[in-house]
Amino acid sequence: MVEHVLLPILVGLLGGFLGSLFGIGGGSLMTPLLVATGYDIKTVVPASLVAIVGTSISGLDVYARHNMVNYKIAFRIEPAAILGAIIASRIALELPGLVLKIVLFTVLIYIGIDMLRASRRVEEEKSYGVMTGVEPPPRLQVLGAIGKLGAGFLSALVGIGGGVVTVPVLRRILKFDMKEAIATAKLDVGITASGGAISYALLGVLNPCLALSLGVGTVIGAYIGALTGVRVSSRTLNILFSIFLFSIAVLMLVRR
Amino acid sequence: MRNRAGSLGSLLLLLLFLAGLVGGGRICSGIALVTAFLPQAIVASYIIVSVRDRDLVTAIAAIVMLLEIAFLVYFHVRA
Repeated sequence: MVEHVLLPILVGLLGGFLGSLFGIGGGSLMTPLLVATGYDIKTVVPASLVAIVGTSISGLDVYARHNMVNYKIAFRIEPAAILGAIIASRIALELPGLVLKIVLFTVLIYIGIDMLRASRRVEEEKSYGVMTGVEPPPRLQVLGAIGKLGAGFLSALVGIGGGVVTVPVLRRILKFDMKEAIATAKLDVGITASGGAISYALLGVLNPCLALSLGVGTVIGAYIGALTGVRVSSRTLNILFSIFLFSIAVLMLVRR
Repeated sequence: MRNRAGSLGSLLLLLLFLAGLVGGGRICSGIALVTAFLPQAIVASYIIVSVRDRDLVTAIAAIVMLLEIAFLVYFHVRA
């Protein structure tokens, strides 16, 4: 009971809360934390994807209320992400667990370094999106879809939301404002995770109990995080959080 | 009203998850599967919006998304 319900709820709570606070998806915390506590990565990934769908849908409302979600562009680039997720879910089951752990380790190190650099970053000029009322040209939308193919693949391969790829795609390729990129990624991540979760469920490798336990934790955690109404940007906290990410990454990798 | 609907949706989702955990077995699997399909319901509803706005590119993309999932299920069932 403790191992199969309470521990995932606690991990979900932590993932949802910190994810909401630091503006990253809960999946990049939940998956490595569970693997670090001894779960098999191939069991965690499908469950994590279902929990990500729950968090995405429950958190989307806040952004939609402020009219920050660009549904049009999200739906135009998303078919590629679903394709990537379906391909990855078929490949992941054939790969050794260690390979998946190494991919996840690399992603975590990337997020950690990105957070360290965040406070120094100069905001680029944004040209497109609902904030400016200008639609990105078709060429950029195609490039965005290619980027989303990678996001979908990574999401279903290692059980993360894919926000780590989606937000840079929306910001750097489609030139969205940061807030609009995060809001649109919230929707995108849910749809992408849905593709991976359905694919894994059809393959019969989804542990529903683990998925719902994680879901309960993340929905509550994300809600508490949103209630605090704080987006952490302090450099010290970013450094502490990066160290936390590096630690989970190493713990997860060395855990047999 | 919209705020309440959003909060109510999150609460409903949480209650569904808890019901699944308490119910166990098939109820748990059913709710996990329904959750996985929830975003597809958003996609389906947006098709109506994009057709109403005469935005055919978005409507086609949304239909492609649904077809991808439909084919996935179809090929799995057939296999």
